[in-house]
Amino acid sequence: MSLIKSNAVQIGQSPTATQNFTLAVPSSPDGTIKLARGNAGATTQDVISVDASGNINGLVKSTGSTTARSLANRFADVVNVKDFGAVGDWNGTTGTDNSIAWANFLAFLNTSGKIGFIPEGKYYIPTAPGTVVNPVTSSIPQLTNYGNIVIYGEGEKLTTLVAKKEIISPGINPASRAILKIVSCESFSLSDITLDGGFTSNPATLSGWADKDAAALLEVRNCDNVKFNNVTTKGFYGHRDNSDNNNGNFGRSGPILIANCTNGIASNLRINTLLGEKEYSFSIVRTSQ
Amino acid sequence: MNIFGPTTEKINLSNSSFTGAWSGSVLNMGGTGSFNISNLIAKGNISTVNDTTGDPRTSSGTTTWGKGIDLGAEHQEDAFTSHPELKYVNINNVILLDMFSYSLRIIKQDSTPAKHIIINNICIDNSFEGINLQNNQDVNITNASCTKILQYVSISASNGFAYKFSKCKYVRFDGYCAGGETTTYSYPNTTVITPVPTPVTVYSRFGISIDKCENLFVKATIKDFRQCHLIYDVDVADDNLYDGSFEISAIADIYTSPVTFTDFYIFGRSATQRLETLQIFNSLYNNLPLIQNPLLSYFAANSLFQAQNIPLGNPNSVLVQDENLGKITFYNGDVSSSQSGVRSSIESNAADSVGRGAYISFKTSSIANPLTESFRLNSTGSVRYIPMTTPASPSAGDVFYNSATNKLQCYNGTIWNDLF
Repeated sequence: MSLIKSNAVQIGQSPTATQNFTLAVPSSPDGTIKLARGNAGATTQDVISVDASGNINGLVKSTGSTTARSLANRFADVVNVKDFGAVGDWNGTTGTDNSIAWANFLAFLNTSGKIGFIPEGKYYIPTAPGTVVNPVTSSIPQLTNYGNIVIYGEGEKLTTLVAKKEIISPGINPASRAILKIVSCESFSLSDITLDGGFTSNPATLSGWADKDAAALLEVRNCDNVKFNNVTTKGFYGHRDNSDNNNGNFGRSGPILIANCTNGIASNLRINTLLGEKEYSFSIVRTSQ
Repeated sequence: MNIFGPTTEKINLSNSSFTGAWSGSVLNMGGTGSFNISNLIAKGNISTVNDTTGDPRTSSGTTTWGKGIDLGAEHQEDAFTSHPELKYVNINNVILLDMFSYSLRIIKQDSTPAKHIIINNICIDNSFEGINLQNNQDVNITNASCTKILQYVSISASNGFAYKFSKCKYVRFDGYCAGGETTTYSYPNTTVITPVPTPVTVYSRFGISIDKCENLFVKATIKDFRQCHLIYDVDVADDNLYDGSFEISAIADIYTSPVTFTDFYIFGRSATQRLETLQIFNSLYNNLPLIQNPLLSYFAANSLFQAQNIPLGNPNSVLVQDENLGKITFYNGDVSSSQSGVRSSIESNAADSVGRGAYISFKTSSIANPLTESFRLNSTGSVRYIPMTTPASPSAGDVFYNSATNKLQCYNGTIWNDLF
């Protein structure tokens, strides 16, 4: 095959231009290429293109639907955490640190207003996203003034977010740390997912003491419209921070803290704090919302 | 799970299960209210043997954990001193099992009570407290069941009750509770506690405990509590038993073995510490009518039933309906202190086997004396004026049968006139 040195090559010789295709690069090459319907040199309709980063842009039509859309547009309907680099490979001991991917995922959900999806996998998130607002009272990073956050998993049995176990002071057993603390968001919805505090057995008793590191796995505060559905917690082990009652640190002794929120719906929950599912296992009657 | 904070409101929590809440509650909830809690199952764990954490009766640990549902107390009032009133709570279809400490409690401060509370279809088994309400108003509890509620001796002498109402107003309760069962704690792990305690057996203590409440209606089946089936304020050193109306309708069975039963019902404490009004009706103990003696004097004498110092003075009166005897007795006076009141009764006498002799009689007397029949309406249609001596201080229109003259006489305002 001889080398073609041209910006555009027409494929097909039909007198009907739309039956021919043109493979072309820009007159000022930028690393992109496209396959278009039509004759070279004429107005063409792009069929598929590849940009300089190797991304493929093309139109597809879902089976049974009527309108073709670009793959990029189609994929953007639901935001997938894996698109931000998350890897669900936690094996109970080690796994990818998904803290940055988790933070970027949430930030995009905030700016885009789109729905977030977390596919099957166990995602280890040792550091909650956001910033520490008041280091005197709490060392938990938090997201503040977010918009509408909607996240769903592939199911409680398939999608799990795993928190970090951390030794909080010498001689003290580790406790579960936060996966997410979100404050003053417009709405928050979480469904079909498991939150895992990382413990597989019950440590010795921890009681309350002054500890700015006390954390729930998930904390939602000052939020209107909160919704939890088909959410399981397990393996959580926390303790009370009795140093700052007014900031609700007491509530962080539980796996989920919903504080000063209105219009909340929590249904189909399995709150298994310590022993996971092995101690008290039964089916939840699922209802539509 | 924790849902609270002073501005928390409009929460629907449903179709969920909770377990493994170590030393905390399975659900803490507080705020301004409008809470629907429905279709929940929560389970703790109660160990009866010690482990490496020590005495299972005194601390939660690897084998004993889990408090129940807590609205208002543990993580609200003490954490937020300005916590508001809690209004509109609907708890429906809830099962609470094996709760270390309380199962369901709504405890609020005097200045910020909980109002408009509905608890319906709740089942509690094997706990140290059943339902504990304090400073609750406008409460309707139906279809409640508490079984195997044991006194957890080392934690607090006040537990071991199925239902407790303290400082509550306008409460309507319809439920069941049974004690009876016992649990013995043993200490096989001899390395933990020195000296090794002897095994301790704990019992059910109170079925229903009430103190400082107003306007309660209680309809209950109560069974097998060791200390008292229903008690109104004898434990709390407070002279004010509160005014108000109390209606008790209860069927209870006495637990006879192996524990010794102390009191069946207790109302009030002493001559000066007593309920303002009390109505007891449809009440049985061991399938016997609770009230048989119209003088109520047996209350203090019978160890199985105490109802001390119920005021009977005008206009306060007590109506006692004794279904077995077919008798209605009205009282006007204070029987417990002065014996100066009067009473009247309407009694029926059943017919014999061939239908003869049925009648209704009307009796009166001072409370200190036996009832005396004065008039009888026979089932045959005839009436009988019981022969008697001339009544004192008659009024015009009075009629009696003079036992001295065997004449029926009518008083015209001045003299008695023979009617025949």
